[in-house]
Amino acid sequence: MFKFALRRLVYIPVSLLFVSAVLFAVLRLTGNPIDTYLDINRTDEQVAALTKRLHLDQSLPVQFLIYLKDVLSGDFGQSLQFGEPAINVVLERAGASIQLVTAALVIAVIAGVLAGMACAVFKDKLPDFLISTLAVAAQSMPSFWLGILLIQCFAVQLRWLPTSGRGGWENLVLPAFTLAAYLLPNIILITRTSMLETLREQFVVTANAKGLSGSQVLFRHALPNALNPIISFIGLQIGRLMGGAIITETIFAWPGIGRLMIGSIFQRDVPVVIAGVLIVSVIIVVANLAVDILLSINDPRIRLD
Amino acid sequence: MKQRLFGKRFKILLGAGIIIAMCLLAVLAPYVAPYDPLQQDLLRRLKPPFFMAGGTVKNLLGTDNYGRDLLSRLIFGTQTSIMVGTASMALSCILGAIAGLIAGYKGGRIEQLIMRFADAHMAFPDVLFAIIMAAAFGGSTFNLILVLGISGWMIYARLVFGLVRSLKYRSFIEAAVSYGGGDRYVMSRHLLPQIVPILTVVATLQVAQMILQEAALSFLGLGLPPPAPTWGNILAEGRDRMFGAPWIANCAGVAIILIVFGINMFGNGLREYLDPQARQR
Repeated sequence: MFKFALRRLVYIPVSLLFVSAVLFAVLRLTGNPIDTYLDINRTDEQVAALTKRLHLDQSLPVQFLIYLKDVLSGDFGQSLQFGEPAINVVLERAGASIQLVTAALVIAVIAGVLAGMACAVFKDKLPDFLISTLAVAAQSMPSFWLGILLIQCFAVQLRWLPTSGRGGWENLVLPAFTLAAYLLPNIILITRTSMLETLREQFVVTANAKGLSGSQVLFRHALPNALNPIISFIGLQIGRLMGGAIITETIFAWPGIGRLMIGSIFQRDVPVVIAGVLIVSVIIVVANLAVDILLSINDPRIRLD
Repeated sequence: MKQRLFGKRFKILLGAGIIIAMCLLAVLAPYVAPYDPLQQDLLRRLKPPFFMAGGTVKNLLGTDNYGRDLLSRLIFGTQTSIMVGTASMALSCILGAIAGLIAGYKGGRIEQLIMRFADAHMAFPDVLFAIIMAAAFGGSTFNLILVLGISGWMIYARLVFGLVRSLKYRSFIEAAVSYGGGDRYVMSRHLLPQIVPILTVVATLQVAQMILQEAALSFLGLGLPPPAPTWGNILAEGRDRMFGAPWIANCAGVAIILIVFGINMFGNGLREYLDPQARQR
């Protein structure tokens, strides 16, 4: 187990190095960084001082190494909007983003697995038909419009929930459901297929023959064995979920990393954008590691290869 | 399953119908649209569509905050969506298919290099990547195609790689090699034709994803800059007018869902047609 986790850990620095290199390339391709820091009324001394401070007088490979060193020590420079270290600005918002993504994940997994199981149990009957048709149709739904529709319905018309912002649990409901809609249809369809395959296995027949109740067979015997495709799907989709969180945060004015990054792009606050991208990448890589470990706990056979 | 409500023929026909109608709208936009999509009329601001109270047939789907005709803007929006969607799909499909073919057929170091690169790119969420690129290079049609095209290549690389690796040791490939076929000949004349059916299905469905991505980028303000009539821009304007003028966001939403639904229908129908096993599930 420990060895397995260790082997997966090696991937983390490789992925993060890749992300850092892409960011560096994009930064240097977008023109002179001096222009983002100083306005038109700059003096030559200011330019010279900034050139030295940003190490722009060095060659590109040396600049890249200095950049990597800064990134490793968590030094992304000062935020231009907030006047404090960019990494602090981003970390302050990380909690809100993680809360939103976790809530969405919980909703998507519980609702998706239950609905998918219902489809498998009632295969070819009305519930299966209704749920799977709805799931296929929902795959065409753009989540940013879904968010706006939910606000129109539950916040403007019914006045049950607030339209935007962060506060109590009632603020979390609409954004979390909007974000959950990214995964929900696929989780339903994958659970359905995986469950149908598992229900045909010998051990399910045995469990039924032993006289166990239907729910015991389903939840204790079939479900754990049907879970792996769902877990690995979620692992593959965590990146998409974080991307979706950026859009969801923008719709609902949720004060997370995504909304901060979009705002910073328009303010040309480069340090915050870089810090944000790297923190999001760290979250994704760590979440992927967690998924791999979860998979191997649920199915020990995976550790062997 | 006994009998699906929608057979594969129905899916393909319905999907193709929607796609063709949308393409026609895009091509004929200057002739079909009742107004210039950029023409402002501040006296006719925020008029509701004809089916709501206060709406007139003069502006069938109402007007936006600047008095621009919503229907005309939506019709012109099909141009950007379809063009960016298909072109970026084509770009990522070509890049990915070539990378996957070479990695799968050559194996060894080249395979390691290409596939590890694809893995690393997978860890970088495509929306995030597209946002960085769009923010860095600005929103123009060409940049959007480039950004979305590059951010999607790994899907095809992995798919083609897996298929090629399973085909490589089949006897018809060995035969082609043994009568002296070079790498490029075997790849293009023997491997590629085997892959094309599955690739077509994935590529079709990917157009829908690209259209959604383009709309999402526009919605965030990173697509074509504002006066341009793209669906994402209209939706973003609609979000700010959600309370007074909900029809703006909803009409754009319906347009997006319609084309994505059409493409998904067509793609799924095509998959069932080309791959009989998919029908069993």
